[in-house]
Amino acid sequence: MENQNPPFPPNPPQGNPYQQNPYQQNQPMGGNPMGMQQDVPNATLVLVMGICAIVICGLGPILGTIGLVMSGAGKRLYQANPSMYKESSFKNLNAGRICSIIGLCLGVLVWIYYIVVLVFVGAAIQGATHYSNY
Amino acid sequence: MNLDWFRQHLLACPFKYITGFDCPGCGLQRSFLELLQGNIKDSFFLYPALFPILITFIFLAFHLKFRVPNGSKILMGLIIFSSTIIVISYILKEVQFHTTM
Repeated sequence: MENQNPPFPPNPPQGNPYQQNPYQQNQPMGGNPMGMQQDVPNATLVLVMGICAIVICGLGPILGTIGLVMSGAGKRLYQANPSMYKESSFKNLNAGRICSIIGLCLGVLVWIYYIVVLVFVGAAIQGATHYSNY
Repeated sequence: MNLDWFRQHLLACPFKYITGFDCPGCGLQRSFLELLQGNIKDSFFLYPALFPILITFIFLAFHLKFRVPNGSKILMGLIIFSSTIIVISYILKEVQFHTTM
């Protein structure tokens, strides 16, 4: 049986015992070439993008789309080989993905609102010299 | 800290520049300046969502550094909370602006 093989690297990592997966020997795809789990690529970036998509007004659709695309790539990589990546990192990726979707929807609504105001109300160009314009 | 430099170099909102209407992000920088000066009450009334946003970013840095258990779920809750506050405060601000004019 493949599962009863010793772990792939002859010397398992001694530094951090928390990074070892205790279920590694029970999983069908136990072939973990690194011997320790790594972060899902771009998980941190997707999380930051998702949060910035909501907070930065007007850029929500752009940042949200970037976050969604990057999270799609990361999710595919994780599902191809789940035992290779940390689960907490995958949760970060999922949270970033959901934040990106929320930011995208809100941002699209804001853009529609902008267009409506610009079309029906706009054309009254005011100066930006007053303090309340910032 | 020299806040006058910040006050003269704020980023102007192009939407408000063109239409005169506030956008959902208008007031964030003014609110942050008031917070830096210690006027918490003014800061809150200028942009109520500043506090949840700041808490979210501080928690994000904390979570990425120390890996809080269930941190991603807490972050998601914080984000949904702050986006709700952004939307509600924006609607209230516009309604108040147009009824008092």
